[in-house]
Amino acid sequence: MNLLCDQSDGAASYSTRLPHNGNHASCRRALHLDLLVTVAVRIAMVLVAMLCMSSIASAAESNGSVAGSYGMPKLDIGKGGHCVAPPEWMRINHMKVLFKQRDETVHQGIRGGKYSLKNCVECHASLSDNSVIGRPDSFCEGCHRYEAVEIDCFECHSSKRSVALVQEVPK
Amino acid sequence: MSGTSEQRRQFLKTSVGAAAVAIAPGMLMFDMAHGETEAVSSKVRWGMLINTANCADCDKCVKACNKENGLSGGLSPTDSQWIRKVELKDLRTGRSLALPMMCQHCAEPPCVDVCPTGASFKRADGIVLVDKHICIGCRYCMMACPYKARSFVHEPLHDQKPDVPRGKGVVESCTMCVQRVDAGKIPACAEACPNKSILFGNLNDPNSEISNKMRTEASTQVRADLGLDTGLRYQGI
Repeated sequence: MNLLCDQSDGAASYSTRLPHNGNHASCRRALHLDLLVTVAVRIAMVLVAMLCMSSIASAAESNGSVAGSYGMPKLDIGKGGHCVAPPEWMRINHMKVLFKQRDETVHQGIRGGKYSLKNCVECHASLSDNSVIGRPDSFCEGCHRYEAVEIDCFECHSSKRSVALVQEVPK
Repeated sequence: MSGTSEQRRQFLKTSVGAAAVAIAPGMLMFDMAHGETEAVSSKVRWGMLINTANCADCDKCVKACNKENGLSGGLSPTDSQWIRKVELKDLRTGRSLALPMMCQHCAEPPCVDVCPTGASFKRADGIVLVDKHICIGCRYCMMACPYKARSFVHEPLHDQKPDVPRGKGVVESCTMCVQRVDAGKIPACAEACPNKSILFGNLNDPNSEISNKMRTEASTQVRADLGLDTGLRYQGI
């Protein structure tokens, strides 16, 4: 038993598994020391790992590929400014309000509502290419790529700001 | 102490007042800019009266339609044509005339009757439209239309007009320039006609110019025998 106890440096599990006399005081002390060292080493490893991860995350953020702690896409919001509703709410509900207004406009001729696709494009088309689609960071396409949701709107609707269309020569 | 507190209170009051004065017009303009128009009602029925006697040998109405709605203007079987210039000739007498032919915006539209999805519909003010969000491209309406007014979009499109969304796989036709009518303007073809041969107006208003003219002068519906009660009437055919 003594021999086993002496050889148990850094391998406390072995000695705890073995049946030994509980009154052996020096063996007990050694066990406690071993446990303390193991716990300390583990805590240190966890801390180092956390530090490494945070530094990687901050490096990625500075590269511009992800933003925020959830890795959400970083978008080119164009002119931006005061949205018709809070952005957090719009992220969840934009499709519902767009669909509602779309039906009202097509069938009942109600125009000038604030939730129109044209308004979205006017404010949020990129200032570089006047479009809300076409690039990984485009206002609509950025999130839709990230969420893997196909965006059908712009097969028919214009994805460009009206200024960009005026400049083109009419056919 | 009380003097400082009074000053502070006064300062807060003035700054809140100043902020309100600065923000209020912006909010007002924001609301005005986003004011919704009212839903269209059946008190209005839009229609057109086309005088073929003045219809000259030009295609300005067709060109204006193409420009307004972003059509290619091509004449191949797969190109969309919302309005056509049709020439008629009586072989026996030799009399010939030309007229613009398009969706007749029937009160009883056959295209709406046959549509299996409800995409083809008539608005309360009599304008017959296709809800392209619902259209599945079956083209029953194209077969049902006696005026051959509808077109199917065969190819993908790019750079559509913001007010006239158009896309592949659905049927489309003359919308009586609904985006202009809703904005209080007249359709592009009526505006472009150099001889004012196309008169646009409210058929339900007895005092409108179009109602007055239809009351005093002869006009006919194309294929009146079908009993569709068309919104477009022609003179001189």
